[in-house]
Amino acid sequence: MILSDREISAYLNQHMIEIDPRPDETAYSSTSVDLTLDETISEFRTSLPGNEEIIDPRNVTGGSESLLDKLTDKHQIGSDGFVLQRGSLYLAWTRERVNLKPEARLAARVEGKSALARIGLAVHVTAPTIHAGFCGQIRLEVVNHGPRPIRVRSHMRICQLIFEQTFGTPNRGYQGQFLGQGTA
Amino acid sequence: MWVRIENIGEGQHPSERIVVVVAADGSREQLIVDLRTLQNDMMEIGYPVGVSGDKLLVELPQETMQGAWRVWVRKDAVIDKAA
Repeated sequence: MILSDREISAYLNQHMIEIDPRPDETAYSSTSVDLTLDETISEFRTSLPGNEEIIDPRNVTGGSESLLDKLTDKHQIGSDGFVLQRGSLYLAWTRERVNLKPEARLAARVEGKSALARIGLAVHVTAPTIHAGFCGQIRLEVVNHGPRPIRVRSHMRICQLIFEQTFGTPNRGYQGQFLGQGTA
Repeated sequence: MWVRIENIGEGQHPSERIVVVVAADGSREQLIVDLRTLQNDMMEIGYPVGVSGDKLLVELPQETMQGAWRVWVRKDAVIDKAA
């Protein structure tokens, strides 16, 4: 069941969902709330140093973040914005920090904005689920699928969150399950 | 509840940290988490989702770099801060 704008506000008021900074009234649609783009963005280089042109996920175990550091250039989006090149992959973040309390019985999906989709901008690569208990700024996998470079600006509306009620409380939000079983 | 971690560095975003959770079998699960979910060498998690002998199954706040969400850890790696 998807939460309506009224229910999203009610969950925010009860602190079962936290979005910081809290979106203003214009960020809502009937069934979603918009989030905005943070200043930090990482750009994937099209070629790797040396001969390692192929990324093998099996070989980056325990170090994929350091691999990302090698593969990407980090930028701060300035007053002129930042241009996303055609066909390129970028890592970006929402400005808002989202906290879905496990006991809230909620998960969410991060989805694109139709106005941006129409010019070819995607904000995730097949991993849109924000699981119950998530806490942090949402990492976006941004790809420009369009025919032209696209200029993005920090604080622009970049994606929307759609909240869904889970059927029951996830185990990690259920206090009674292993109560008294002797953690340290 | 909180699980013991090793803070091994910064993530790609200033709000992120790379941490390691040592599993009960000694393997090391690395993940990227929000800085504010950490307190010293502890990371906030929900309640354990399983128990077996001296081990607890905990669900981590993010998928690890090996793709796991849940890890068996030693009981003494988990504490209840409220206690």
